[in-house]
Amino acid sequence: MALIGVMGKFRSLPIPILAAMVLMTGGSRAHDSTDVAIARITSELSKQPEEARLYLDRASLHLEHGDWMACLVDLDRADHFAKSDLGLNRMRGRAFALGGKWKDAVRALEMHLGSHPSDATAWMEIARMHESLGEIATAAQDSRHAIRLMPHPEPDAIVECADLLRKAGRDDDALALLDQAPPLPAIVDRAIAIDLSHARHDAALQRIDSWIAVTEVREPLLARRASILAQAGRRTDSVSAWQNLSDRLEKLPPEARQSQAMLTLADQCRLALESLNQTSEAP
Amino acid sequence: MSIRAIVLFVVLLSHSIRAQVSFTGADYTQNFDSMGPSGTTPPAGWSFYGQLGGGNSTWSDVTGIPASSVGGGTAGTTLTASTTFTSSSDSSGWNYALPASPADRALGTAPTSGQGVALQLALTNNTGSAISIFRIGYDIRRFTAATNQLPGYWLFYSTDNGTTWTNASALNPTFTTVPNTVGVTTIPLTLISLSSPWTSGSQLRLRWVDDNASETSPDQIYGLDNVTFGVASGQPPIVSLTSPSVASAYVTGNAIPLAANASDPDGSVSKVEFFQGTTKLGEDLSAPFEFTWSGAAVGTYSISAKVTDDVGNTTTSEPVAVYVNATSGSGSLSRGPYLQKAAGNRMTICWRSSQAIVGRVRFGTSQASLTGSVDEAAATTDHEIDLTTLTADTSYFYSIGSATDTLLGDATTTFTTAPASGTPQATRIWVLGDAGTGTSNQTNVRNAFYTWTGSTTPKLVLELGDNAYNSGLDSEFQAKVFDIYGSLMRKVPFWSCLGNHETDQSTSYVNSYPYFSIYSLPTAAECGGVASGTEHYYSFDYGNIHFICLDSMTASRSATGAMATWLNSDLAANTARWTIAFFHHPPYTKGSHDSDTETPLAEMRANLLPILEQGGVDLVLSGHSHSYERSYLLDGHYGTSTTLTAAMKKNAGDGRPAGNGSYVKPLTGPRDHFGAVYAVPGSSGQISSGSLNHPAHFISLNQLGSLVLDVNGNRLDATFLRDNGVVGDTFTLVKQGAADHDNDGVADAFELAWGMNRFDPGDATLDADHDGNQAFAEYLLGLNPTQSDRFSWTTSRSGNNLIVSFPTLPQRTYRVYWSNDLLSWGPGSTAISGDGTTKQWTDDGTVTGSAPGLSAKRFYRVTVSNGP
Repeated sequence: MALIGVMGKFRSLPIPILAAMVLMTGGSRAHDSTDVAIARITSELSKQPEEARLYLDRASLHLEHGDWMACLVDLDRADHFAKSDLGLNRMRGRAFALGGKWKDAVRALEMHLGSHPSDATAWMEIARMHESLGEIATAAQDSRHAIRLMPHPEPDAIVECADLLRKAGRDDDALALLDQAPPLPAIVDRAIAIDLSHARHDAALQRIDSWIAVTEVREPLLARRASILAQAGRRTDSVSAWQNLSDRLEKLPPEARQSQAMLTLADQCRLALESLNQTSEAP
Repeated sequence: MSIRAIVLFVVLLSHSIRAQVSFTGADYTQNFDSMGPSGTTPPAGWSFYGQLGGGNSTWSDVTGIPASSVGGGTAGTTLTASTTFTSSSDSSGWNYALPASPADRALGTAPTSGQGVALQLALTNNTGSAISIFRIGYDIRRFTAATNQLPGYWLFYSTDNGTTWTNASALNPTFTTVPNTVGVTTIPLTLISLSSPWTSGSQLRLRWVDDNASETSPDQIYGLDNVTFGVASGQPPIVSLTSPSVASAYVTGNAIPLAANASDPDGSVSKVEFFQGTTKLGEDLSAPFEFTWSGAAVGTYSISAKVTDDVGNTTTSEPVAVYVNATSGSGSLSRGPYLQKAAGNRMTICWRSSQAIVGRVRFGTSQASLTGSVDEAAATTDHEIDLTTLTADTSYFYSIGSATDTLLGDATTTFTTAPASGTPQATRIWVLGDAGTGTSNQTNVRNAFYTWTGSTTPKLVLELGDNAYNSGLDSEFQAKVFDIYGSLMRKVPFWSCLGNHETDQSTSYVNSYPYFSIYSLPTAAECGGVASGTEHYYSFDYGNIHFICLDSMTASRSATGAMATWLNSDLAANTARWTIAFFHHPPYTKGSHDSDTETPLAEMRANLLPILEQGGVDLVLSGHSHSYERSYLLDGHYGTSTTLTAAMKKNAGDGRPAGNGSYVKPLTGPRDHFGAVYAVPGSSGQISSGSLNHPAHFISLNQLGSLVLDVNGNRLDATFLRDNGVVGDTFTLVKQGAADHDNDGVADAFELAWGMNRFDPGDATLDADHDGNQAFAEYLLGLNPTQSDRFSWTTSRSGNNLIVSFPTLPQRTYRVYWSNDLLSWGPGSTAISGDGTTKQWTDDGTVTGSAPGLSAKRFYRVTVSNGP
């Protein structure tokens, strides 16, 4: 910090100021479409062809518009004219990812993470890149690391990580992660899937019972429960569960009973009962 | 080389060149003098890490040093020795000398080109037992004075070899504890309770972190000196504040009572000291431990209590925020009130006051009698109070303020709760897309709607994202949402989805955007639907309308992601007559954005639309493109615009009753894939260029305006209202009849119930049970197509008259015919609409010419046809 004199023009500015510069140009383009904003910045660049922040602005707009190659070109120009490290590898990684250049994206994100090791979102992004490259174990590891860095991980992040852990064959780790999250559909759904894949039917039933207890519209979950009972080989219990659900559906008010959701369940009831009854009749 | 390889290399390097200190229980001390005037290596067990947290980021005295950033850094190998200290900066460590005594050395730092430098001490627990509390003291030597950085070292520790770090926050320096003058500050021996035990044989790492937050000269240069590390003697005392309560508010000039509970498990309490921040306010040597703080100026304070036991161990309580206001009450109204999380039994009321205060909402069904009240738990300036005991479809008045004042409460602060879920009610909905420009365009669109709607207040407002340009800042929301729609927001709930300008173009899935502080959205199915657990996407009910909000900006748009999983669950439990989805990025547009080329738009179309259409969605609303585009009744169009086929247009007309006719969808039965209308009313604040030629759209207009929806029973009317008050487009959706996908006359519900194929018209003519009735007839008569059965109807005599009785079904029309010879048939009854009850027709000779009892013979037949 004391060596400000030898630092580049951007290095000498703290990031909030850099951000403010970006926003200032953004401010005047607030109401432009992306195309118009890009054209305006291009016009400004004709007057200031070495102004790095304009290339950075335009790169951001290109990225927003899905033009990843143009974004990369402008990022390179921004780096070139800034003559210092603007820390653009995160955006570069996103651009490569948009273009399906997974390896390049990994390289860019690794450089970013080298200097920002606690950027949880970037760890999630690099995990996705590894997944795209088929490097599942690494993807799972990176994703799990990202979750650890998040003070309060959102359901989406937990689900994404759990899915990667499963893909990597780390079912128990996935389940442990899911168990830390609140009982939301996406969470419980995956946890039950893991339990069932290991034939832990009682655990799955316990989960769905807990879920049912906190759910207002229970019919879809009752169907799930009946289905799990069938998978567990508890035919009598399953028949009873499906029949109870069928009766419950019949008692719904006409409009609810005739809804897409409940008719779908009624169809599931019928098919399941048919199937289970055929099973019982087999010699 | 991959990052992992680099990290591994660094770890191995540091292990190879840095010995650890063996801690056997005796105090470890270090004064660094052994480094000598020219030493380039730190003492055993010590190392240093530069470039901590990355370059030029945003640590500040507000954010502090996040523990998550402490674990990184580049290991240094060689110290730079200095005769005193140096004004140069680098990313490594320094061997400084005290100006007055060159032999007195300190291990120093002067970070540059990165957020900070950490000095690390690694100790191995060789005591034979786990340690849960340690004590530590040290000197911070300040070589320069400046206020552009955090004033001194922040101490962190790790018991898992540096994977996770915990801040010893009680020791964090401030400009009060480490004065802004050259000199030394002694951090006294302080007990630190470890977040997880330091097990025998394992390593404890301590890191003193010097930040480089502000990045402007002059630098602050520190040295660490006279470190003492040991285990605690005895158990630490316990303390907690009992007064003031969490986030309480006082008026300046009034005394603030401070009180704490304190105890010591293995001794006695010597004293309790009270602090605001790091400033000691006073102390009490005996229980009850109390102190009265007088003379507090207006401001926000952090109050804590520190207890010291009889052997010198200390513990500091969790801090409590206290607001000292200039006057009593709320001060002035800065924002709102506005309504959130509306449902039949609840309403959330939000506002902002100039002073932090415990907010109170008073409410009742009469403006003159606000008999109910709800208080907040703690003082704040941004108030949010849930009223959860309301009655559905009921009008309430309310006021906002505190226990001692009312900021606002008049005829304009009123709302009506939603009807009970499933209950039809005439509902006007105002839809705003990309409105937040703060220009006359936005106000013109608003004014046009206000004029058009007159006294018909909308029941709710949908905001389709980009509500406040350009960056979604709180100040932008104030100017472009609250200052524009404030009067309406007092009485109508606004529901929003996340746009790209709410996140300032970031795709990070986080809740730190101001949007999430401003809007209070349901996460736990408080307003209907299935709990999503996040405000990013959610659903709610209004009467017989189910609304689904998706996050097309930051959430996973994968068909198997968390949002899609939730959406499946939500639709699986949805029994509402109408389903309306909204999200920012339009699946079909050729306006200022192109859904053929932009990833978020294409992914929403490819991955989420199939789920929505499978769930029977009726209307999908988006913004992003700054124009008005509206589709035909569509289904199954998930590719680019060139893949649209005629078959995907379930109705290729204009959707107007006076034109080609309304778009009709079934009222009963499965409603999957009967078509939805996709509207992009993204011109509520601006219009932009674009080809506006997406073939999915019936109409595309480069005109300012907003969309108004009127849902009434089985009918939804949509009106695109331009900024000049002219209607630019209308369309109507009507729900009627039973779903019949294959148009074979047999309702889908019947086909589903009896295992028929609702996509095969051929099975209507089959007679699977060989009872002589084709499936179509079985359906009409309400028979079982899988078992041989017959329609059962009867005749009975009443004098000379004969009564024909027959069961009926809804959606059927019955008519009785008569004959005397089975050859010639005449109509007996008029058309009789079925309703599920048994109907009768009496032949008394009026129609047939003679009463049956007077005729030799009389034959009857009953015909049944589809439709009411």
